[in-house]
Amino acid sequence: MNRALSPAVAAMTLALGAPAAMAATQIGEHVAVSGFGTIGAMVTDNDGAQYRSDLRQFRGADKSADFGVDSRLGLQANVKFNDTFSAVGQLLTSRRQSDRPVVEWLYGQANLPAGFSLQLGRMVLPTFMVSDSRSVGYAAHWLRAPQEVYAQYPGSSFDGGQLQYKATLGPVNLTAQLAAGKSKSDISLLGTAATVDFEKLRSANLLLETGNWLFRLGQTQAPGVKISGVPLPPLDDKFTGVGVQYDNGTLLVMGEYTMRRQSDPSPFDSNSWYLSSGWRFGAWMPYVAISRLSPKGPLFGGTPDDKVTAIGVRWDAMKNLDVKAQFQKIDASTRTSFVNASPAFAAERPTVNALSVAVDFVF
Amino acid sequence: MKLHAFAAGLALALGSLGAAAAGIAVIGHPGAAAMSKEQIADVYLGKSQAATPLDQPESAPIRAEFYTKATSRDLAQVKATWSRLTFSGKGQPPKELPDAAAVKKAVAADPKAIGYIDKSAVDASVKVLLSLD
Repeated sequence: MNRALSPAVAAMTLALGAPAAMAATQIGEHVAVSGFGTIGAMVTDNDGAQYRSDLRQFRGADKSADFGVDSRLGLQANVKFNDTFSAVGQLLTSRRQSDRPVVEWLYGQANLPAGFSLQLGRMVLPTFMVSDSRSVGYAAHWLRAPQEVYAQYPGSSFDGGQLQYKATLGPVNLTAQLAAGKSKSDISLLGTAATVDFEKLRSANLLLETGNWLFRLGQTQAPGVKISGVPLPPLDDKFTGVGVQYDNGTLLVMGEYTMRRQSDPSPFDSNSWYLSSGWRFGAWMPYVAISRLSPKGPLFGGTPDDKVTAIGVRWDAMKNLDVKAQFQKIDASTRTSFVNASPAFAAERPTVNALSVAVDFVF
Repeated sequence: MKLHAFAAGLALALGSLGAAAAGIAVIGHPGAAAMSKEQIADVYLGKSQAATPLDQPESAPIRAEFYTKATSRDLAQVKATWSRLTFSGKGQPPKELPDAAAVKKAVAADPKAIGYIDKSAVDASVKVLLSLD
């Protein structure tokens, strides 16, 4: 069996058993075990480079179908010791530099009085509006989050601590988060293997939910980021994001805007955004997403913007399982979403068309 | 399509039973304050922790009817919403109880619990926080 297929095979094995199972299995009073997964296939019309869904992927899809771009499997255990103390662990297998399963999250939580809670361990890095459920295909209308925005932060979890405050103020539900810790990722960047070391991360996030609306504002700062394999001094990195979502059950509209600003020589400064909308017709939801990455920093080599248009459909085929198809037209000058590009591809920057299909499930 | 036909058939079957068409009561502890539809929707979609929500089984028709009326979402959408919360460690979906009697009993015993039952099943052990017709 090819290494590339292993997450897909693992996911498929579970998918076959999943629809029959309940979402989440309660083991005794205190432990709940649940899982999620995606089996995806992708093909493009260009062999000059491979499309990927994560900077940590060193291979991707070209003219021959690839099962590793989106396929993944997650297993989670929630342990509730009492009303104050709980713990969450999540194992995730997906294509990264190695295909070995990783401990994506493992943290303990203490519920404090007055709406505060404290988490310690390994947790989601709250960089984007849907950072927390990016791997859970079943939770999203689209096949994958737009890479022009979501591929900009290499890591998806951090080790450290987080203080959270939740309150209901009239019709508004507010969540505020302060997080601090560190994160390290092995990525492939502009054709080079590099390790990005965020030794001191700190992040502040504010979420407001009222009726069908959700507003999000967040900033993640990291002084002295070290990137191995690239001749750069340690960088002070500041990543700011705003997001809005409206969902009335039938119409969904959401968008995010992000800005990266770094210390001199600001190698990867960029702005990016996406706008996505979908309409539910019973079990069917056609959607569209347009996204853009505007490179500002010199290491992008003065290329024009990445522009991607995606159209797709989600079909809730059965209990706990959906089927999705997505077509993308990709003008990717920065090659953030491509890996193993030939010199001709890098020079010509062709428009690439891609087709993806996926089955998402939870159990 | 199939779902619509199924729902229509179900509605007809329920209509012919008469009693089941009385509407849904969102119930709480006798000492609890009334809640708005928006507050109920926030609790059942995991946006607010103002109350502890309880579910009836997925096979019970009242569950789909409750979510449609209270949140404008079908059960698949509700499941997608909770899978986002579950797998981000932010919460667990409402506890599922076997039937209306079990929901009523749990609500009567816990000042924070809320549930939904057929209006015809309401008695003095619980308080109606909101009527969904």
